[in-house]
Amino acid sequence: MALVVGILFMIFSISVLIFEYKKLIKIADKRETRFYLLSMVVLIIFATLQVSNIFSLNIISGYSWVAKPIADPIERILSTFQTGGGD
Amino acid sequence: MKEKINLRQFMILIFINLLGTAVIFLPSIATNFAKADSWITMVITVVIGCFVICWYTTLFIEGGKQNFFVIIEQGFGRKGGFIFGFLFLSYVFLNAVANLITIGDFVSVQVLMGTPSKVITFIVLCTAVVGVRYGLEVIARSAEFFFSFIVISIILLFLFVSPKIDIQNVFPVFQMNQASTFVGIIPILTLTYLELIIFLGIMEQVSNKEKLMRGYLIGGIMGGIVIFVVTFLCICVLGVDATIRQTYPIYVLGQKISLADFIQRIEGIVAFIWFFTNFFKICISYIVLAKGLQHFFRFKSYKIFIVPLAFLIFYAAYEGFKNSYYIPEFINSTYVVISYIIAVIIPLLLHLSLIIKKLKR
Repeated sequence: MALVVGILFMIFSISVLIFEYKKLIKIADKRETRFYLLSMVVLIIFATLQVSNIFSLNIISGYSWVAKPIADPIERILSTFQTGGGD
Repeated sequence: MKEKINLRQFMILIFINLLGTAVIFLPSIATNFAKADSWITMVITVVIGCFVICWYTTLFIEGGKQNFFVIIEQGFGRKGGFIFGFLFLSYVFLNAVANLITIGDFVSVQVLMGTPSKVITFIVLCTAVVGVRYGLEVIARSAEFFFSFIVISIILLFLFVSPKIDIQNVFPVFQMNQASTFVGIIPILTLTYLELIIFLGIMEQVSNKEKLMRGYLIGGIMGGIVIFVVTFLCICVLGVDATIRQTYPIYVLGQKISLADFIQRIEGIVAFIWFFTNFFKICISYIVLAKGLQHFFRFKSYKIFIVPLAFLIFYAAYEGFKNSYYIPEFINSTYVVISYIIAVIIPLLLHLSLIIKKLKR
């Protein structure tokens, strides 16, 4: 099922890419168009792999992982004051 | 042609942005800390929030009323500006993704039960893409249009719920949990006034910059009052324990409405308020994100980033939070840290560096 959704998602993404590219080529310069194509291709691959459950990279967890050294003690301190504690 | 919004539209966007996530999560978070005194926590937060707003406006004026990303480069230099600018953009990105996740979660849990949250996330994101493509002016105008509906919905909610108020739930006032009442301000500020730093990204597009602080403050105070009243009503109507237990206490408040067995359970009003406010919040974060990237990559238009960003935002929101229980945990840990670094420490450093550079000149 996930694979089917992934394929559908890819078809949708590529049609968006073509639709946007046709519009973009009229207004953007070469550098911008190249950037657009590159970023879209990379993101479409990432998103399709993610949607089809082949690949899993959780960006939000990435934020938590980076903030972890400070976030953990802060959470512990805050939790002592929750539900009316801390007095 | 540069897009411009007027002061009234800016004020409305501030008001809507404040209500966004806050109106639905804050009563529960505030009550979790201060119990019956959570309304006091809210009052103090609004007062501190006004100072935060004044500070952000002063920072913008100090930077020469320019694009915020230009101000960052002015303060930290080209390379420093790039690093700090990207840190700021990562916060804006997190904000957009988190709001998208919460809207998907809320609608799939409370309104369209059984519909996967990813589908709702996808639909909202597609609408946001259309909005952002039209530009800030159109977003501001539609916010202006929906503003009256949002205000009427809020007033109706307040009016219909008011007969259920039991003022005894608020007592005893400030007798217990004094420390928690103040500690609760830390996470609440991150969800309300510190998020307004995102508006520095669009401030240069406000036409009447002389009265900027006034519009910023009025929007902030109005939003603060609504959040305070919602929290107060939640304690008075639902009681402390029920407010803590519920993830979306304001929605339960809507379910409590029963007027002469005629007007009943109009929780749809709450869903309406939240859906629209959060949608505009996502749009503003999205537009600031695209504008920031446009500045740092020196592109002619920010519109080139809209669709690639949509993929990245959807991709991040797809697996973002494993479940609803993770959201409060995230707000009390990671989000607090990231918010205070991006919305307090970096602007403070920027302000200091701008002042030092001014003095040297």
